[in-house]
Amino acid sequence: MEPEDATNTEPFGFGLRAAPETEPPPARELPGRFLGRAPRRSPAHGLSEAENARFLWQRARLLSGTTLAFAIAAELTVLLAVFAPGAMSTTGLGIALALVMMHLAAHVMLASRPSLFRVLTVYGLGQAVMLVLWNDPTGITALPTSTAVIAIAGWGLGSVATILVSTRGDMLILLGLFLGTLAHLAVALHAIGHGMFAPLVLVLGSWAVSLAFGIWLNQTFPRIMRRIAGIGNAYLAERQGSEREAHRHRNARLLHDTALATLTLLAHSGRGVDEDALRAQADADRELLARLRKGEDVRPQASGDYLLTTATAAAPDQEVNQLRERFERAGLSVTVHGSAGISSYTESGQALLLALKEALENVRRHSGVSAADVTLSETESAVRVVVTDSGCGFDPGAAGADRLGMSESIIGRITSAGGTARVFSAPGAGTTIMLEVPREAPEIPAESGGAR
Amino acid sequence: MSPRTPRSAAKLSTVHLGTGLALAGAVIVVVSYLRLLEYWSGYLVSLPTRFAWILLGSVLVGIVLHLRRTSARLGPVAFRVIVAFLLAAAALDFAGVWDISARQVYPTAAVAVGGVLVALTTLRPTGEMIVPGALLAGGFTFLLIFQTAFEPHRSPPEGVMMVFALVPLAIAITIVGTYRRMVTQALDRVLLQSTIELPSYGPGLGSTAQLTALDREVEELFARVADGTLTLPLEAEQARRAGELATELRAHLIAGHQQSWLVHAIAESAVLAGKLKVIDPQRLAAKLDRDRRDGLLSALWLLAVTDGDTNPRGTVEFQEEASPDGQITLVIIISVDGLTRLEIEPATWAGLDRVGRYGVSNTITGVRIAVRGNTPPSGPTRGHHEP
Repeated sequence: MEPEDATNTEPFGFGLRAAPETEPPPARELPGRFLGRAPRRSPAHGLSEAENARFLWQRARLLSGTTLAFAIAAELTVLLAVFAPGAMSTTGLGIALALVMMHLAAHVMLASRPSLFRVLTVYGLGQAVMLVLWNDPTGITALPTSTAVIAIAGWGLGSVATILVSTRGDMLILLGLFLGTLAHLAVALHAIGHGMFAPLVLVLGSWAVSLAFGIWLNQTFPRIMRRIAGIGNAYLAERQGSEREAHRHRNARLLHDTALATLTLLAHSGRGVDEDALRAQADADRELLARLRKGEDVRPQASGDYLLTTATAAAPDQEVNQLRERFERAGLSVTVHGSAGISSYTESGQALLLALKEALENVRRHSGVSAADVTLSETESAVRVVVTDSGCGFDPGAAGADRLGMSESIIGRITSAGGTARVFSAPGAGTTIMLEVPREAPEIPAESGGAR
Repeated sequence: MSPRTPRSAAKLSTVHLGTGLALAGAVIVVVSYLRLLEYWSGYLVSLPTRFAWILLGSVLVGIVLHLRRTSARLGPVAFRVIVAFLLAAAALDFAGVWDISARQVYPTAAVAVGGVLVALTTLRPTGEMIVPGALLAGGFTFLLIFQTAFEPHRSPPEGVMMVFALVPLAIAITIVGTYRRMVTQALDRVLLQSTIELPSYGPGLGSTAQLTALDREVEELFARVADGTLTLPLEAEQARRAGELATELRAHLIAGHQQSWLVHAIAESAVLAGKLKVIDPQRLAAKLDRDRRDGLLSALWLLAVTDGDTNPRGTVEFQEEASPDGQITLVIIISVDGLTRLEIEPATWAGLDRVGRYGVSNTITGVRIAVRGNTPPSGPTRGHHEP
């Protein structure tokens, strides 16, 4: 990583500018609210510019708020000093009060919208307050006056150190302001005849504390935002891992269907089922679940038996024919028209087969007829299955148990595979169910959507 | 999901905030110490003040040793002990200054205590720092008022020292509090960002973990059936459990598809959770592409985020509107109560701009924003399948 100062090309680039040129602030923000050099990289990659700007703005508010707080403390100390009995002449007091108020007002303006001009205004007015204080005839030797001078030279002026730290140019200006203040202080103290040591310590201390706050706020922010972005990236990778996991579990839906069947048998204590067969089935299911847990992509065939995925896919539409045979054994004659290359090796194909199975099951149970037509068709982008019967039909608008079953097992499956399912029916007019899913690559690679 | 815990968020800020404030605190301690030396050279240091500095020095050594041993962690008990000693040192110093109130001698150790507290600000919750800060402020105020009564000229220098002791401390406490909130919010926002990469519908992180656990239990049950550990037919208790597992498994396999990415996103965000309710029976949120999701989420987050001054709550409703020419428009209606239009952050509008055209109206209790996305892409987008 390059040093952060690399962005500061101008030797005297005054840092109190709006946002960096590359990232304009949102239109409604006051440009001057953005203080400090922008971090070289966008501090949080996950954040939009506007939100990023929002956090920068919050930091800017903290910086200027800190300056203002120190300044207010300084003015209060000065007021405490000038109102001490006998501290100042009446004229001096009047002028001092007016200047202190102006100085405070300048500080408020600086906090609301920082600029170099406002910094210099604050500085100039502060120097003027100092001048009035030490030139007052009454106050020359008085303790309160010297204290007031120290308060202004220290916190009143030093507080700008908090906002003047963002670039080297700013720091140089700050150094100049500091040396100027020291010189003025030395002249004032010499005139009053006050010792140098204590005032020097206090003034230096005030500037140092302001500077520490400023540098700290200025440098911590980009660093912390970068770390947050790092955490965000790590979290995204973690989430994508979980999503892959979830996807695998959803892919294993057929496995879950068979596991559910076995579980249901067990829930009835396994009565009425051949014990050895049930044990063998449980063992097969257990093995598949174990493989799923260990990260394998487990896909038993749609048509009943428990088989692992093999490299050779079933012939296109073979599974539809298997379904047809199954329903014919159950007493529903199914005629299949056309072909669509459906196979359970794609997620959408799997969903389509399951939905088709449910649709035929609905016909078998509820239509009152023993024949159904299945029409398969495909386009470049989609695969379509239409199931038609000439049975009793129903009102799709009416809420009923049938419809609920249909929406879960048919429509839910299809929409979750990114497709659409439509049901056309009316009482006495038969039912047509149209299922359509987008075409997709035969295999969903497990590492899809990996960390970017 | 460790990064989301408040503990690690607080630590995150502490690590980076610590050194800067320690530096500021050290400056205050050094200033106080130099003042002490000044008084010392004039033989003006009373016995209690000497004791105060000895006590303060020992506490400082103790703090440094303790923090080195615990790698910059400060427990509540240790903190209370430290604060007790610090306040005792401040009290001794006040007493010492009181003792020679006629001379030009002002608190030193008590000021240094303020500096030490500044340095400790990042190590404890903001609320805990306020108490010692307030007690120290009370001591200074007491001294200021009562000494001024005897010796009016003393008050201004007293004021200067008071500023050194209290103002940096107050600012440090405020800044650290604000900073912690900012960091938590930024973290929440960054973590929320990952939810726009979610599949349109999904089971959510928690649900996936539950399904995995469920699969594990089913596997164990099957194993015990297969190897004959369990006799068939099953005993009533085991049969009941098998039934429960079947029900839970079924619920999981169905439930995963009933919630869109937005519902999961809101549930996962500390800022949004409980504040926004999604009304989307047709699950139209799934139709938004990645960029629109980002814009919508960003806007919702900005609407819900608060610094404690507002309490926004509301709903996000998805509808479809067909125009006479058959064009279908996705309409998102965001109603938020407890927020006026002026309180909405400007960046919110930038987010909504990316979703579609929007209109804002005031309601009695808040604002209502209707966003129209003119051409929702055909079919739900599935972030998951992007390479």
